[in-house]
Amino acid sequence: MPDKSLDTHIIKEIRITPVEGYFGSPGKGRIVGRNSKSDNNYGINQREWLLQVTTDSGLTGLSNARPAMNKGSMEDLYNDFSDLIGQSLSGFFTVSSGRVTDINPRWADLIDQYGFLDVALFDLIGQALGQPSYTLLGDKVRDTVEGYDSSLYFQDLVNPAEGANAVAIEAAEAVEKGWRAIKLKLGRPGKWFEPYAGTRRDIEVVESVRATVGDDIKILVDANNGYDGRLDLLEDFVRGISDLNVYWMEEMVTEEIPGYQKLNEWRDKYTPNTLVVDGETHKGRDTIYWQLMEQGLLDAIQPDMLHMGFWQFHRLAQKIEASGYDTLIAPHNYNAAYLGLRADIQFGAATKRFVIAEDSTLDFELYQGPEYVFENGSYGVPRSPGLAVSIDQDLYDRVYRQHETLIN
Amino acid sequence: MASERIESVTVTPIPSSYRKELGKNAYIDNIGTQRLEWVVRARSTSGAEGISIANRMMREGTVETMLAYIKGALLGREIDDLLEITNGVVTGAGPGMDRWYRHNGWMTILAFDLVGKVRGVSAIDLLGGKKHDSVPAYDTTLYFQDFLNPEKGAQQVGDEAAEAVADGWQALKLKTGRGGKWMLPEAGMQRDIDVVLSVRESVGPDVKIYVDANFGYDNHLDLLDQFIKEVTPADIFWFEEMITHNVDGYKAMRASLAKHGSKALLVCGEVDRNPISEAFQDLIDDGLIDGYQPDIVGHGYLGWMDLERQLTGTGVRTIPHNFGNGVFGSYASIVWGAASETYVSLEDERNIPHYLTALPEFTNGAYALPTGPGLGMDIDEAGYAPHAKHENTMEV
Repeated sequence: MPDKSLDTHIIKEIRITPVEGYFGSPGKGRIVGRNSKSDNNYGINQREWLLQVTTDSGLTGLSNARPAMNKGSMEDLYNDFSDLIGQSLSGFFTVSSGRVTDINPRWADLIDQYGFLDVALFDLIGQALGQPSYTLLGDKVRDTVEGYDSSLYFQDLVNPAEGANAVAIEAAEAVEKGWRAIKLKLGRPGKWFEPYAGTRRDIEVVESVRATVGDDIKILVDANNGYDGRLDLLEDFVRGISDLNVYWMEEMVTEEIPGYQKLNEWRDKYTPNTLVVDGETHKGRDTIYWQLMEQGLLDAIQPDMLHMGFWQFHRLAQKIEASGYDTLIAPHNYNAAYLGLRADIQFGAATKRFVIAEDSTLDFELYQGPEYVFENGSYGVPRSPGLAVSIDQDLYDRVYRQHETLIN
Repeated sequence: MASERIESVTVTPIPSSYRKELGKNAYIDNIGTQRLEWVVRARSTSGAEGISIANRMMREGTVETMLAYIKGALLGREIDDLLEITNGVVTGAGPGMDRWYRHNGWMTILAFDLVGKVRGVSAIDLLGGKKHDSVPAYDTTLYFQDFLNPEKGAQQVGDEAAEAVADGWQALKLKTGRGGKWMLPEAGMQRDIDVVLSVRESVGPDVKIYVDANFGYDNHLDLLDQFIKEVTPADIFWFEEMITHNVDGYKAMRASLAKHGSKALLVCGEVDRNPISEAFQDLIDDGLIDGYQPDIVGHGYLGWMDLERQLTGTGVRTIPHNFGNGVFGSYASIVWGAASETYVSLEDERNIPHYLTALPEFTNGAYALPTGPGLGMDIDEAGYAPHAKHENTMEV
């Protein structure tokens, strides 16, 4: 039965507000360096563009509008979201017996363009119905969701005196703080190093981190396509990490069939338990990633959590399930920070194929989500309705409100 | 000197740190606390060393392509072939060097440094001799600091401006154009106004204030007119890149300045990668700009010598852009500024010194001139040592 109770919640206001989060506390945090391509350091902080969608019934759904602000302007967002004012919560999705079962075609394009919007809508719908956001997708399939520290970039160029050990030092700090899985950015041959020296450094980094964190920590590696055009060096790399128990290799080269055939061949030969993962830049279906999946060349697919949103990701998971392939789902989430991670955890709670959540480890003083208990490298799944995140209203009023853009 | 040549070249990535975190500008997200400089050291037969930075090559290129280029351009090159010199003044590129220098102005600065050191003369003299006894500088680190300290808002910029003045700076540049991307246009304009007025209030009447919008007022000439009206009482010295370069827009800006009684200069040109390109030539010909700003390291000394010749008689002054060039860029700018008739002010990132010897004395908002040969600087080997493991070395 369609859930009529959503009719009574009308969107009254939308607020978009920049909120800084730091890698460690402000002024004392560490610098997160470059990856294989990016010229800019991620620096000491990253920011969310906090999206608050408020109804006339007093509910507020949260999300992070950063994907829109990366590409466009506040003026664009203001214009595109103005149509949401006055809309009922019942108008976006078909909700029946506590499950979202379809999307209203009227809003499909907007939600496709701004996937993060549906995170705020799922937050609101969950609150209105008194159930956690993940239950709108399905039953709970796990009580906790593992996260990996995704902030170990080219720290050797931030702290040159330590070389590869600079990464290992920070990996040890991550383990000390509780993470049981860490991702190392690689692909040094791609731009910043002479290619042979870059390959040697990549291997050295993995060796150094494994020696430092021990055998029980998952090590993931991500080259951001830094071995493009150098498959010879990629084979050297895969051979070089053969005894280091790497959990996954991500974006080692730009996605195309012949390169992935070689990568899979070397993976099978040198490090057969390592997953091959890719796909953060696309939305999954009708893409090269689907072709890779069909050829058995991709173990996990990684569209971005906030580009996709709950509904599109859920549909992708259903399509993979229906196709009969074994491909897993590991959402990209780096820029999504606090709220994207909570969305990721909610999605993982109801998605069998979910692997692990990308955690940028940023500290935000504004958000409160006590049910996401971080223990032994995993986050608890909240029982409270919606996303189970609130903001410190006093802090917001004192610090952030003067910077908000209000749509009403 | 006939057999003096470049025997080895090293390229080394070296992090360069600001004294604080730099926020956004009109279209780029936070600058952060640290950048990477690509330091090039070319050593000659006698042990002289020319220094420059190849940061711009790395924007689009890779270490692999950069090393190949530098090898072709410099390794084994006779010092006498780097520059053409007449009566002790450089008159052009050495034989065959034009093609290497054309899109790599940084390499010409290395050539001036190395040739100067081999000959025992200052690069200022190679540029034609000094025209000033010191070079004024402005603090260019006042980005959208209000976003980094949201509780204080516009006052945060005012406070940082006061700190810069306390440190000796007598000229400051404020990034504006908040309505271009990060805020709604009208709200962004109002914050821009608040920032400028806050800074003027904080620093008093005697400090020069420059304003730079990185084109953040594109398509909003009405708001730009209002902005100019509101900040004119704050006595703005120049307006930079308020809109993308076009004759109609700059005519409208000139009209706004006249209407509101502003005597501010209009300056632009840092984005001109092949100066003087047509759009900027039109602005110059129509008398619509007062200063021109291709990058000092990107365009190099030979390029800037040529530009200054072209600008002679136009009334347009040389104000090379220098952001992203670190301490090396400050040295390069001081040397250029000392030798340029129409130079205005050095864009100073105020980086924490690390791999180069200390800059000349800074007093009353201006740098003294370096006295040594070449650019008057050397590598500080103790500061350089931690970075040596990332050296890429090429030898004859």
